[in-house]
Amino acid sequence: MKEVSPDPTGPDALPGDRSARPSLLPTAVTGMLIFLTAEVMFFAALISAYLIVSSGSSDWPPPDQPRLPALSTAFNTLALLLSGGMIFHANLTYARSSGSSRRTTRLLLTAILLGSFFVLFQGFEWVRLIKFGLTMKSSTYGSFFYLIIGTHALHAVAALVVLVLVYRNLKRKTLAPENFWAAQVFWYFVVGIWPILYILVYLN
Amino acid sequence: MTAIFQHALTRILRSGLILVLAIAFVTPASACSVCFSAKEETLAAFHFTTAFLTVLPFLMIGSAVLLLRRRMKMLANRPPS
Repeated sequence: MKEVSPDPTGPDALPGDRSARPSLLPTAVTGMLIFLTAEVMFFAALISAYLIVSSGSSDWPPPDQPRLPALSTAFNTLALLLSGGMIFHANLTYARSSGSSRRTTRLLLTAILLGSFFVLFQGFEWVRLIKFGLTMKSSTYGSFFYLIIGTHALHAVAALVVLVLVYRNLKRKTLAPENFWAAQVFWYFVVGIWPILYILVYLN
Repeated sequence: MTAIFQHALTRILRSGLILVLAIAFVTPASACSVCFSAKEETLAAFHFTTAFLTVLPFLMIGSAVLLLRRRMKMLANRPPS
């Protein structure tokens, strides 16, 4: 029986045989990038709607609505940015040690804890804002705040779940590098878009 | 053939008459919220966000293309294992 050539361009290659050709990007990363492209457009639409509505109001934020905790959220923002830095370093140590480093595990765990702190602190601030009267129904300002920041929080929670799964696989030494890469891309998106939302919503 | 031609001609003339009447006897509603908003700030916000939402997909696709080109060069320069 004739052996099939591993060269996909050779005369004996089967149609669609890509086993000898390296892919440009792993499938997990490609899928994550496509998903994040859609999410970027989603956030861009929310930001655009917010900018148009806020520019049309004579008083923004409305004087009868509670003011957002910009200072404490600035501290929270630092925690989130730090978690992004931790993930970056975790990736560097992962690449250097070919995936078997305790330092990578510690850095990843620290990033997860910082991200969890961010989400929990945001939740705590939300409870206080609701007590002070800022709700989704109290005003357009409230609706936009909870919609935009809430959507980001949902993404942060989803990204944290992904990071926890990556951490578990890393501890078991079953982590595929492309899955770690895809999880990082998701976390960089959550971290990267937050300063834009903070400046537009909290500092506007 | 003549009947079909006459029928088509009648339809064209009727459509043309409706078009002329529509152009001659209507006034613009000026209801576009981008062009006819009361406040200058809102108009500016509309223009900015329209430009932003238009340019953003091209930026993302361009970044993806650049990333893929870099990967291609990196893989091409990698020594065969």
